[in-house]
Amino acid sequence: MSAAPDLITLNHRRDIRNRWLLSLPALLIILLAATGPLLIVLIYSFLTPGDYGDVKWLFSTDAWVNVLFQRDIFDDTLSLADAHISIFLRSINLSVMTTIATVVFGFPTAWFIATRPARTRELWLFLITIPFWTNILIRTFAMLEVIRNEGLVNMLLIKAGIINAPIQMLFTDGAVLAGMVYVYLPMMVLPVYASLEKLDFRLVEAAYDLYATPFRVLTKVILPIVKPGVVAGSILVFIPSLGAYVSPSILGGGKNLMIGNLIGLQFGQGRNWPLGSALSISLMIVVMIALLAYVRYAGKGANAHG
Amino acid sequence: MAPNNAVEIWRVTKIYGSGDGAVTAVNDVTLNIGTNEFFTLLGPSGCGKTSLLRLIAGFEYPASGDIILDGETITATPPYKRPINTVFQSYALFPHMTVAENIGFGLKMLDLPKAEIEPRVAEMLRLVRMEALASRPVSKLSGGQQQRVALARALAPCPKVLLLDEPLSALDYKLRKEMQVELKRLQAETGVTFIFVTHDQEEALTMSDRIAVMSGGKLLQVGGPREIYNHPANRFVASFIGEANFLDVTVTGETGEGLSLALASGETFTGPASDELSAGAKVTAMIRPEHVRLQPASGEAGGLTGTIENIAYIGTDTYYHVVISQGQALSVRLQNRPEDGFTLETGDRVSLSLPVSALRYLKD
Repeated sequence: MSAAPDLITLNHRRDIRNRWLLSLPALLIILLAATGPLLIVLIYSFLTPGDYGDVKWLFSTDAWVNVLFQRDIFDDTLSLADAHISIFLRSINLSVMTTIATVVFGFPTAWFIATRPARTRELWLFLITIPFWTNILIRTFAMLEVIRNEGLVNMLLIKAGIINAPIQMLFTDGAVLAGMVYVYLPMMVLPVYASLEKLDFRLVEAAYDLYATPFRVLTKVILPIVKPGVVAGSILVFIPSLGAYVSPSILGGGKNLMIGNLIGLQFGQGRNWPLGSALSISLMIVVMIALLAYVRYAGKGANAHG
Repeated sequence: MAPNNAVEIWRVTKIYGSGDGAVTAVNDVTLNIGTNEFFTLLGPSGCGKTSLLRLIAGFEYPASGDIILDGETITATPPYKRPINTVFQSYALFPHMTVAENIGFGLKMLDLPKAEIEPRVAEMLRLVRMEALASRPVSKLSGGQQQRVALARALAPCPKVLLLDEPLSALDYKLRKEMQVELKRLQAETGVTFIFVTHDQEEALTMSDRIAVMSGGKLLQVGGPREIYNHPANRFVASFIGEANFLDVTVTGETGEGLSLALASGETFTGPASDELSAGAKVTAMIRPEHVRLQPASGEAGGLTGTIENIAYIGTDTYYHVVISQGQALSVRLQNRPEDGFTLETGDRVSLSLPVSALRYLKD
């Protein structure tokens, strides 16, 4: 081996080391602010619940068993915890619906902004971010004001003589979904816009020219090219909506529990911190599995063509 | 309607914007393009040639006028319903598809069965000599290869008309020359009507059956390369295509050979006869630099004489910038032939002769 390649490797190594140093502050924050508490949660999930909340330092796997199973109070037999499973499924369902709805509403919005003249695009983007200025709780309560029985929508409809009695919109699954879509829509619009902005609109013309109808231009050319943006947006929407707490409890009226509410309950009235911890980690595992599956599925088409 | 016209453009006007900012990109253009013709739209940038092409493709709709394809009005037909395909200046290949998928895209959108698409794609790959790269992603191709894929993609659905929007402008000189030959071959092999847009007059002259010269959204002249070069309709066409000398002359009378012309400085020479001109008329006479004859000035008087002010040697030929009189100069292009027994230097006196058959009278 000549000296030159060694030198290159040496430089290369130094380069890598320097980059690690640059990311050190971020790594420290992740380590201290995320990994640390997570470790505590993991440890708590293997302890025994205290009488008034908190934990007793006695090792127990009960919490983990209780995530999926329930012990019959009479004969001690284990059966599947239908309640927990249906809560998990309901949360996953709500998250999937939210993600789909944000794509359906967010894509045209992003398209609209991306096709504006460059001068006005910034204004539109600015408008999209306005909801972020307000706390999520306030936004959700504002939504409640709009859709409750004596709220704006019902009042207007009654005044206009379209309906006689108010329509029950609050405390329904639709209200929860609407609230979630409202909160997470910008998370979809921004990444989709970012990839649409880079889209070469001559490709759209080329597809039109080659006999693709407007719908097929969308499905065969635009969507495949902006897929990374849609994938990023979906991840940004799906993950936080799985753990959604505010919208389901305020707009859903706590009728149909979501995982977030279930976990919250364990640390509050339930006084079962280990179960709350175990549920939290279960939620994380669900998110990780869903993400891996999604990225793998979404990346397949892109990788095949390099 | 003449059946041998592939495309008829009838009084088409296209205006961009509105109010004070409105720009007339295409101004009342009427044009017939024959079937199987290699037709070129030539003009400087901003002359409206690309706008006209986009109107034919269907990406834009005219403010007034009609576009007729094979006797059928397509003025308001969307691009995906026109049997016309485009080769874009930027190629616009689909980055998420392979070479073969790009070529097959139009066929797929026409809902042809796979059994029909595959052989057609293979045929197209063969036609543009890209068989070996069929499964390559288009991002891994060179400029010339992308150009071929763009051509194959546009030709695959057997369009009635192929539009080419300055497709060679991004290629280097050598590749451009190769692709010019290639395009002519493809046109001959496929028999498709080509409408080619370029600002390169040399490209237009070498490749076209007919050329339309445009400027400021207007059509200035339509004709074969020889006709356009030898009989330019006006001063713009003469100077845009090839090089030209313009002489402001006054008709002084008729001679046996034609008209007697006088420069402002008093020198006279003979120009071709013209029914439209009579004694006293002022006109611009045009002659190409390569048509002017030049010799070292001899003692005898008569004809035009001048002084060489500048010499530019370009290998095959030499340009001489000859000043005849105050404000009147001619560019002369002579072939460098070893058997010519004279060498000319800057400052030499020369006699010029302007062959009557090479002189043209121009409108401004």
